[in-house]
Amino acid sequence: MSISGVEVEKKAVPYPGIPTTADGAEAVVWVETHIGQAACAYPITSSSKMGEGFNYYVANGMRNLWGEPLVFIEPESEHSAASVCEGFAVAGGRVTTFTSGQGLVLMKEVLYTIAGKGLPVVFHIGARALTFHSLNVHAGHDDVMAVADTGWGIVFAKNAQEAGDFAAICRRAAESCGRPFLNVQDGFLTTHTVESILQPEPELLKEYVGEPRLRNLFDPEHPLMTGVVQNQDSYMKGKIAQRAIYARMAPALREAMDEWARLTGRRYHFVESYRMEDAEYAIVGMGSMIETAMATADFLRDQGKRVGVVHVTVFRPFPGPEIVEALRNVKAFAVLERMDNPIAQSNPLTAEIKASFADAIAGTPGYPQIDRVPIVYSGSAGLGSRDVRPGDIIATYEHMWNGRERRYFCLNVKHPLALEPPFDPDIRPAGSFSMRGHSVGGFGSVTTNKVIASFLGMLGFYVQAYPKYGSEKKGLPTTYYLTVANEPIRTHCEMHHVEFVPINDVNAFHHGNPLKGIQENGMVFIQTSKTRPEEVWAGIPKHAQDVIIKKNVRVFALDTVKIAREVAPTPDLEMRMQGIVLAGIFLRVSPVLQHLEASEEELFERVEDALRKWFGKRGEAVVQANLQAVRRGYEEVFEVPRQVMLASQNEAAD
Amino acid sequence: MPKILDYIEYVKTEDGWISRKVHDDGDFIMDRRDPEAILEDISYIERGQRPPWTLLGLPRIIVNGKVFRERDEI
Amino acid sequence: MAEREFPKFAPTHEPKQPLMLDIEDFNRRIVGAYNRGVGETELEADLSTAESFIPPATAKLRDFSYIAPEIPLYDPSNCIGCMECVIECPDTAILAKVIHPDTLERELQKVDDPMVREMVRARFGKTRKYWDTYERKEPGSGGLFGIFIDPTKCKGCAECVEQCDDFALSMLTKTEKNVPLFQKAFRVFESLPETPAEYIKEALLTDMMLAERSLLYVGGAGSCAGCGEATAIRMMLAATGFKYGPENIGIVAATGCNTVYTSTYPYNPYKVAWTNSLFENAATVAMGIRARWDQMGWKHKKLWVLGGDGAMNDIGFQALSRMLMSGMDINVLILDTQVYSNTGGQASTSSYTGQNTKMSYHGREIHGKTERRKEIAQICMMHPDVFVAQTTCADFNHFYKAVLAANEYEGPAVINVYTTCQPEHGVADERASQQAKLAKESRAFPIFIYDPRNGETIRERLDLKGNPAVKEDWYVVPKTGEVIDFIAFARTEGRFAKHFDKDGNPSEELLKAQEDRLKNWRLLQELAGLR
Repeated sequence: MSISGVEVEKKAVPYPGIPTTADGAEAVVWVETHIGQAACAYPITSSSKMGEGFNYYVANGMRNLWGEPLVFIEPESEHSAASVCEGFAVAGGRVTTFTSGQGLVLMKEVLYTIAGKGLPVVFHIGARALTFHSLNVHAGHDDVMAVADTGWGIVFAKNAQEAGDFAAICRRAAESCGRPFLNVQDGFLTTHTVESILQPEPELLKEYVGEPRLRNLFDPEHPLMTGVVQNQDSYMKGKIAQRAIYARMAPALREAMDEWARLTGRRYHFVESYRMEDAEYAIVGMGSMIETAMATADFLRDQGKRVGVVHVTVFRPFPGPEIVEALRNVKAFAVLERMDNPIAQSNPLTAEIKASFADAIAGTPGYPQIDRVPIVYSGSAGLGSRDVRPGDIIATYEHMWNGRERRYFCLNVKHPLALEPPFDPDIRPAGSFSMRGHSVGGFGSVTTNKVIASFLGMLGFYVQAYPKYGSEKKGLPTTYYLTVANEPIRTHCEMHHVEFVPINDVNAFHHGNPLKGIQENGMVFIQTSKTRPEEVWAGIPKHAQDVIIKKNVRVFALDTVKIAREVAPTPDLEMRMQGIVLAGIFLRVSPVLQHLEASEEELFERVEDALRKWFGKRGEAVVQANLQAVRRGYEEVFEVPRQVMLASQNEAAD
Repeated sequence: MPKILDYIEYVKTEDGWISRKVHDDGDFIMDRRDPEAILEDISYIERGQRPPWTLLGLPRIIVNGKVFRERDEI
Repeated sequence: MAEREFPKFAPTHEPKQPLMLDIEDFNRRIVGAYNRGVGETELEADLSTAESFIPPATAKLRDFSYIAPEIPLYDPSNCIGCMECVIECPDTAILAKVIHPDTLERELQKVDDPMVREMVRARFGKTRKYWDTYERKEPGSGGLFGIFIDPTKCKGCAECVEQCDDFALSMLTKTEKNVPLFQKAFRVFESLPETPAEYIKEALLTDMMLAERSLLYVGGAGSCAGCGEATAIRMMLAATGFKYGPENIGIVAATGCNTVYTSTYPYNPYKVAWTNSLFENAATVAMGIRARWDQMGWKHKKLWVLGGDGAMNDIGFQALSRMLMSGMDINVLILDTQVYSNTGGQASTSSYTGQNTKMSYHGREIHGKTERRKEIAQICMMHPDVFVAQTTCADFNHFYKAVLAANEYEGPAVINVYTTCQPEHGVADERASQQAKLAKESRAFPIFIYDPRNGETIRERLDLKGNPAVKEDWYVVPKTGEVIDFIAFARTEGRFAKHFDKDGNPSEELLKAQEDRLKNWRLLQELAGLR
């Protein structure tokens, strides 16, 4: 099994990974709860999920791979979370925290002291836009860039697989060079997106990361003073002398990546070049949108365009020479960044790449010898999880191959500096089946989506599932997305092409267009207490009926609320159970069963396994209730026949 | 207020020897309280020697109004 | 002594990352270069400076002999062995030993110079405490008591002289001739064996500093002469070290004067594990250490957080509050100077009303600090299950008891200690103890112990013992009839000088400050069930 966007070496390896579905947060928690000794975390969206996950295992008495009980502490701020980590690490412990956005910036002061003391910790970041003119809880890179110069190694994951793998790789590198690392993934887009991944085996982690044996700088039996005061006589000496220590960071990280590749077959590089062999134009960047760019590059290559993509996986230590090597032969490249600083020379990644090219052309030792510098474009995209679509990527390439003069641009907002996508193709893998659900916060749709993803993953499909999170709370409209395919799904953008739209919230037709992007012969499910197809059809507004008929969409309906009420073992589970009923409906209407060539009973056996994975810890009664909910959804869902639809249209026409 | 020692004084009175530590140009005087210790000091002084406890610091010593040892004089 | 049989976490192997610190090399090469005044120019920017760790007690090698103009001269004949000078010295520059005469003679045989021999012998005297009581019980068992000054550590503050009620100490002008004598005498003193256990009565807290394990702060720090904070730190370490040993103590210090004078490279006055991170996070760094220690089974080890009123009342207040709610066995020593001493004396929330400090200057329009003082100890009391004490170094028994209780208490403990800051309070170098005593007597800084183990009600837990006239508003000196109110205290300190007119009448603001102090005192009386 290959994994989305990750280069997998085609040979037998000792630890090929455990196929499963997980989001980026879970992938990190999996690693940390196996290799770690403690986590000290303060909640902040989107990283909270990691802290909660770690705490969940601690609360249940999980021990690490060496049998030590784990410690979890929730202090009163991120500043303190980082400080508790510093204390734990000063005393020789292996520790982590999870944070995002303002939290990371609030930690900044402590990041310096942790690095200065040489504490080899790893912090996991759900990268998030910072509060400037407004608050935003979604993905942005200005938080990480704000702490880019605190003496930490910084590694960017572009999907859940990498987020988990880098947790282990960063730890090995950190402990080998004696300096800390940030393992960065995009908030929500990666932290909360369930994908098919290969989970690192516990035995692998045990061998690869190794037993925590860190120097204890706070052992009263061997007293030592750390964090001292230095003046003109010594401060600068101490700072400059650290160059020798930091010189070890890149080799340590390289060794960690090599060893990971040897053991798992998953090969990572400081700079990942994708289809760059003969590329004339390249997109460069960090994080999830670069995987979207890779999928888009495939689409453009099929059309004969010589385009490639470069993912800067390691931001610190900055791989200047490698980036120059990767990009030296292109005519132009565009650096896409999830932030904007209009008064800097350029946005930070662009600026460092430009500086690298300046060093190269100036003949600085250690850099490739070049005689020309490609045209460098720089774009802001995806701030606060603003969607970055294949169309935006195409617009970026087009801007380059048209040789446009304007070097700075932005994507997907109405603004004079924005690039207009010429078109927005569906670049999902062939045969993909996508669902966009419309629900109300608190209805359990997030869990349902994950449960469905988990089923599909266990059934051998590639999946991608995520909710669209707003900052708003319970009771407000939410949407959630799921794609199932026979190949890795590399697009990290909102779904504009959907095959199936479950509508749990009857009001969805009134506060938006739930049929947006529905494909020919697609399907709609409507939650309703009505039991007759005619009544269901009559409840759909006219404009929606027209779309349904025009696109030949099939309409299904069921009262999942009633079923949920009947099967829920306790009233508090009713809402969530509605979602589980929907899972049954999904299995019925999607092409999953066809692909599997399995009998219904085999399907339900696998469903039961998946339910046990999710709810087993809550007891057998809950598992059985859920299974019943799935079964009833599968069996009781009914369709509005085409004749009913047409009949009503005719009536209206009369 | 700093009590800076000027000299150590030994005076023979009708009731026997007394000793005092004179500070701050005479503004502050500390009486020495242990008659036995004072007598022991006197035995040294009578032998022409510094009382041993003053060997450290070598303060000035005045005996019955006359300088017995200058500062730093052993 | 209590047994120290504890489960130990035994590391099975060497850490991956070596410690780039060779203690012998550090002391010889690095401290040596600094002592010769060539550290800045000769030492390289090498890996040891990259880490900048300092081994313990390097400040022992620092020599202040030629800094202060005077040095204390000890007169054994007046001394009763009360130890107060040893306790109150902020620089560990005045030390005492008790020695059996036979041992002393045997040791003196090793000294070549007969004058030095004589000089050292004459430092020792027969006190009632260590000689008479022992001799009465068993002839031949008495010990000689001697006090020695370390000229390399003494900054000449005269705190010891001020502290001595028995006129056994005077300040003597240093000369080229007498300084080497002090050095020689102290070297011999150091070579003498440690005071035998039979002369140290555990119940007598003042004697703790006779034991080597109590002397965990070796002096040589860059603190101001007479610094009240340094004494508090030394005393905390003495009580903790005496009971638990240095191998069981760690300090997390919040940035402030305390870190600057104790950790300026390459001089470390501590013999215990020590770390500093930042100004506001000492309490939470300590949480991390405690968590790790507990995970390793090091539950018996004592962890102390040090910080000033700025670090604890103000910038690190939320971290402190968080730590107090953790239930963790962490002790906090707040060095309350009522001012940001380190940054040059700006107002903190702990400053008194009317106090003339930077950022609350006494000017033509505004007359010093206008707000009331924040009472950190009382706030800490309202966190469930926290041991709290407020004390001063002048009340050494009260202070020591507070430290011992904080160590025994299995949970968070806070000790707020009044620490005189000479330059910012506008008082003389030798006044640390005296001003602290006056602060207590005048209700500027009442002392108390709040022990949650003593009962359910606040009045059961809160003990105001140690304050004079606990049931009255103000203390009146019996002999003179003088009322020791806040005005009386303020009159003695430069920080309130502008509040008195030429006839000595207090300003309106100072009367308000007095009202504030009285209200605070009455509140404490009420909480303690005395009103």
